[in-house]
Amino acid sequence: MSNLIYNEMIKMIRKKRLLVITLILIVLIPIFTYAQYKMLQNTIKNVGSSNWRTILQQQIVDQQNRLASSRVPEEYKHLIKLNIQQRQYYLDHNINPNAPGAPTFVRGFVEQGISLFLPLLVIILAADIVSSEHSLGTIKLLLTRPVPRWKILLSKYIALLLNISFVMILTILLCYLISGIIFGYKGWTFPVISGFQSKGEELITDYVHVLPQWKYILMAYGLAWFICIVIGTLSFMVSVLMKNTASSMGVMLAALISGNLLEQVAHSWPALKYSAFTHLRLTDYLAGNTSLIPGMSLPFSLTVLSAWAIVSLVIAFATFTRQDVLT
Amino acid sequence: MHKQKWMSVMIQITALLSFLILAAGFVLSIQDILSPPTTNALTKKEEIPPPIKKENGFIVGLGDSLTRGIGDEKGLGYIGIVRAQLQKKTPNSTIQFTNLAINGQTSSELVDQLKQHHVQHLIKQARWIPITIGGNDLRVSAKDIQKIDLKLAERNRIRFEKNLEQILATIRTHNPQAPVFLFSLYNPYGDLADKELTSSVVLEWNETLQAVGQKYPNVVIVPIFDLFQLQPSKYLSSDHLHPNHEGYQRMAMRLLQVIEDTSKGREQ
Repeated sequence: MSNLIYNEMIKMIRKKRLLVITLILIVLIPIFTYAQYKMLQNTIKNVGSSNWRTILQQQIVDQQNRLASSRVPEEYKHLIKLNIQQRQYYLDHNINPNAPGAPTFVRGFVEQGISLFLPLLVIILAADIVSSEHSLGTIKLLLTRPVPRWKILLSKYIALLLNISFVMILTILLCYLISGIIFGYKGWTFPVISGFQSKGEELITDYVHVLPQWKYILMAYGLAWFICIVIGTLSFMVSVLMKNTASSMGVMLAALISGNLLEQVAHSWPALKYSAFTHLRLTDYLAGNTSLIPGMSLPFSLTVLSAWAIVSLVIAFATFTRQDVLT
Repeated sequence: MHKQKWMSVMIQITALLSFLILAAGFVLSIQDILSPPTTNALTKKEEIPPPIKKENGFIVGLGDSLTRGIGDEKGLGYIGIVRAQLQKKTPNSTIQFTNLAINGQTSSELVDQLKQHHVQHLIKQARWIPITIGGNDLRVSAKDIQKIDLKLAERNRIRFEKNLEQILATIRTHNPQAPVFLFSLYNPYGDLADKELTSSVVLEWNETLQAVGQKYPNVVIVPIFDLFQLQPSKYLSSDHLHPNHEGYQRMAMRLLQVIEDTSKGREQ
C-alpha cells in the first residue's frame, strides 16, 4: 500500500502541478502584498494619522455613519452594529487587530483566501488525478496490475491529501517570506482576539480570549485545510466521473464559483444552507464574524461539509471499482 | 536522477509533516471554538498611547453631517478644505485629522459619544476642535419641512441647551486649552414661504449657542447664518439641506480666519 502511495506521489511531482502552484503563489503573493500596502497607505492618508488607535476610531465612526444611511439594508445594519462593537472591544483593550507584520499578512491571506483562492489551488491539484489516466491511456496499465481497484484509488486519494497539506504549508511559507519584505518578519506572538459571539445585536464577550498569533494562524490554516480536503474530495469524485481533464476542471471551477456567488444570497434562500459551498468561510467562526444566514454554527458547517465529502468518496469508489475500461 | 529522487522524498516527508501539523491545527481550532477557555478573560488595559507631536496640528472634528462633509460633491467638507489650507501654510508639519462626526447626530447622541474612553483620549490630544451640532435637534422639531411645531422646537431647544453645556464641559475637562470652534446654525429653508418664521427659530437657537459658548473659555462661535441667507439655493446641495462645495468653502473661510488667530497666538 505504501508503495502505491509513494508511486502516486511520484506521479504528482512528475506532473509538475506543485511547480505550477508554487509559481502561481510566487506571482500573486507580491501583488496581494503590494495591494495591502497601498490600502494601508491610503487609509493613513485619509485618516491623516498612522496611529492605529486613531484609524480604528475613525473606522468605528465611519461605520456609525453607514448605519445612519437609509440605503443600507436592515440585515447588514445588524452586521455593522456587531462589527462596531468588536472594533470597540479591540480599542478598549488596546489590541491592534491588524498590527503590521508578515504573520498578520499570513493570517489575512487565509481569512480572505479560504473561500476561493485556496480551493482553486486544490482544484488544480485534484481535478485530473484520475481523469488524466484516462486521457493519457495509462489507466489500462494501472488496472492490469494485480492490485484491487479500491487500493489504487485509495492510494491516489491519500497522495492527494498529502499534496494538499504540502500546498497549505507552502502557502504559509511563501506568504511569510514574500510579505515580510514590506511588512517585516515580526509578529508571531502578537495577540489576536478570538471567541466573539453574538446574540441578536449584542456582542457577547464572555468567551473572548487572547491567542498568540502563531496559534491563531495554525488554527485558521487547520480550518482551511479541512475546507481544501472537502473541495479536494469533491474534485476527486468529479475526476473519477469525467474521463477528460479539461471538463473535470471546468465542472469544479463552475461549481466553486457559482457556489461562492450563491453564498451571498443564502440569507434569503435557506435551502442553500445545505450546499457545501455556503460553508467555506470556516475561519469566520474563529474570528467571531457573524453570518447573515440564520442557524449557522461550526458543528453544522462541519456536518454539511463532511456529508458532502463522504458521499463524494462513496460515489468515487463505487464508480471506479465498477467502471468498464474499454478504450 | 539521483537528485530528483532525493527531492521527491523530501517533498513527501514535508507533505506528511504538513498533514500532521494542519490536522493538529484543525483539532485545536474546533476545541477553541466549541469550548473556549473562560479563564483567559481580558481585563481593560489602561492604554499608554504615544502622544501626537505638539508641532503637528491635530484636528478633531465632532458633530453631525456638516462636519462629515455631506453634500460636498468633492467629498471634502469644510474640514477637508481647512485641513488642506493649513497644510499648505505649514509645509514642514503634518496636519493630522480625525473626523468623529456622525451623520444625523443629535446633541444627545454627541453627549453619549463623548463618554467613550477613546474619544476622550483623542480630544485630549487635539489642537483644534471644530463642531457642528444642533441642526438635527432642530430639524426633528419640524415634522413637515414647511410646518415647524413651535412648542416642540422650544422643548428641543431647552434640551439642546443642556446637552451643549455638557458637551463643552466634557471637552474642557479633557482639554482645557484647545480652541473649540462651534458653528452656529443656518436656515436652509430661507427661500421658502415661511422664511420669517423658520429664520426666527434658527436665530433663537443661535442665541442659545452663543450664550452657552460664552460660558466656556476658548470657545469660538462661528456664525454662518448670513452665508446661506440671501441665496440659499446657490450654496446648498441638491438635498436642499446640506451645503454644496461652494457652501463648505464659505464655511471653511470663516473657520480659517479664526484658526489663524489661534496659531499666531501660540507662536508668540
